[in-house]
This record gives sequence, C-alpha cells and structure tokens, in this order.
Amino acid sequence: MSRHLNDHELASAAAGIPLEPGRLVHLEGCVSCRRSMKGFLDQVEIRRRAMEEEMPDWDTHLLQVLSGLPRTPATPLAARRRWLSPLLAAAATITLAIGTSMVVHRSGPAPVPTPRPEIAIEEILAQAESLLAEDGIPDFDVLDNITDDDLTALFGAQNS
Amino acid sequence: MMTAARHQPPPDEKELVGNAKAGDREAFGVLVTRHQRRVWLVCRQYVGAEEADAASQEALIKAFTRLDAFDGRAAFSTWVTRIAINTCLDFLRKRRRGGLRVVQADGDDHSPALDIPDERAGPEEQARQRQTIARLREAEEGLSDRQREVFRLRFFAQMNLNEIADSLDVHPGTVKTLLHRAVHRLRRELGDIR
Repeated sequence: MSRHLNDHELASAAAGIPLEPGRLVHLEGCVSCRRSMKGFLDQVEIRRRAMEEEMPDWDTHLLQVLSGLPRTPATPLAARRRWLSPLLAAAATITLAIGTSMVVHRSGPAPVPTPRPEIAIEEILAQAESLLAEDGIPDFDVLDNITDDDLTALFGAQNS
Repeated sequence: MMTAARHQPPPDEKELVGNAKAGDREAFGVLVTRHQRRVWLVCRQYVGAEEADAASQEALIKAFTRLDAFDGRAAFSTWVTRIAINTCLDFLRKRRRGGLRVVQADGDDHSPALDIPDERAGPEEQARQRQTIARLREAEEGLSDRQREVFRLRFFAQMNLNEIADSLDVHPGTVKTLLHRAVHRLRRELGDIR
C-alpha cells in the first residue's frame, strides 16, 4: 500500500484542488486519510450551516429586488451618455472657439476714449432764469385772456 | 394531470438574459431566483449577516441596470458575483468613511447572537457546534485577507476554483495557492494535522 497523504496533499484534497492520480487512488482507499480530511471539512460544514440559518426568506428577497428595479435595464444616465457625450464635445468646441475669438478681439489696441464735453450748467441756468423773468411767455397769454363768460357762451351754446 | 407547463424545459439562461435586457422584468426575476442565494452568500462573507440582505439586493439591482454590459463571455453567475463583490467593497468603503464601527475584514460582526448552531441538535451538540464555530473563526483571523477571502468563497459561498478566479479576476493558479495555504494553516490551527 502507498504511503499516506502528507499534510499538504490533505490540504489540497480538502480544498478541492486536484491530486495526482496515484494519490487520489490512495485517498479513496485509505480510511485514515479520509478521516483526517473529513475532520476538517466537518468543522467547516458546521460554520457553513450556521450561515445558512441567517439566510433571508427568498421570496421576500426576490420581491425586494424586483420592487427596486428601474423601469428599463439601462440607467437613464447611461442611456443618455451615448448621444450626450458627442453633443457636449461639440458644444464645448463651439464655446471654446467663440471664447477664444472674443479674447483675441479684446486684446487688440484699446480705443482712445473721446473726451466728453462738460455741460455748461451755469449757462443753462442763467438762460432759464432770464426766460422765466419775462412776463409774456407765448401761448400762456391765450389762456389768460379767456374769461368765464367766454366759456359759458361757448359751452352753453353747444349744450342748447 | 400533468400540465403542459410542467413539460417545458427551464428557460435557457442566455434567453433569459436577452429578454431581461429588453426590459422583461419577469425574465430577470427568474435570473434572480436562480442566483440570489449565491449572491447573498458572497455578500455575507464580505459585509456580514447584518448587511448581507441590503448588499445582495443592491448588487442584483445593479446587475439589472448594467445588463447591456454583459457580453456573455463569462457565465452570468460569475458576472453577477463580480458585481456582488464590488458592491460589498463599496459598502465597506462607506462603512469605513462613516466610521460606524471597526471593519472586520472577514465580514463578521463577531456577535455571539449570530453563532447559530443547528437548532435540531441537542444542547450538548449545540455547545460543541458553537465551540467549533468560534475556533474556526478565530483560526481564520490568522489568515491573510486574500487567503480568507478565497477560503470563504470556496467553502461558505460554495464556489469552485475557476468561479473564484473569474470573479476575483485572478489566475486559477493563484486561487489554488491561496486556498492551499489557507486550508493548510487552518488545519494546523485546529489541530487536525497528524
């Protein structure tokens, strides 16, 4: 009978890593080797079963997943990205071109500011005062000369 | 009397994915039914029992929204497992940022209440199981993060070597090495070595 599996071979066998055919034959026929491997796997199995006890109710889990799904598989953002990216690139290029041309235009020789004539405030006020000082402002005379009798005669004749 | 529906073979996974991509929620529901247990078990290993429900639900919803990215090169189960792992890592990052509590790398919150032995066993057997769980958990703490991760995916999430390699995006040889070292060390810690 061939020698027993060493610890490394037993570790491989327990992990599910394929053994050399000769070693596998030994393992299948050797109670001692199988017991050694099984001792470890039994402990792992106890821990695994304990985790299974923590599992949720699968119908509820499924319902919660389905209720959280968007209307369509592709996210709206991802779907938009397909056509949005080239559009944004074109917009950015145009904006850059316009911006650059404006900067170039502005960076030319600055226009010389035309001197703004100062307002001769004193002169204007003097003219206004002299105008107001005159008694006979045109058109005001017409109003002044109309008497109440004239108005009565005018409107009275129209109403009769 | 047998109904016609009973004779129908279960829907092909590829067909279900195709239908789900087209917005068929019922088809996606069938996929969830098939894979939710695995997804939950994976999440359980990373975020612990308390958050496993929330993490697994979020992972499955993410899978639905990213169906367009699934090209069928990997199995659907591998693809959705990868999403579950990434979702859990996001959970752990948020937890760390939030400073809610110390992050246990093994996803356990070390609450004695969660050491649930088989209720069908008698008191003595339950006590023995509790002790076994505690010893194994303690021994796991001696593993590196990567060894522990691979060990848990193999034994508790019941994934095979290739599934683990694909889900973690590492070479199968790396998984074998990590797993071998993990099991060898645990057997030594638990006194199983002859």
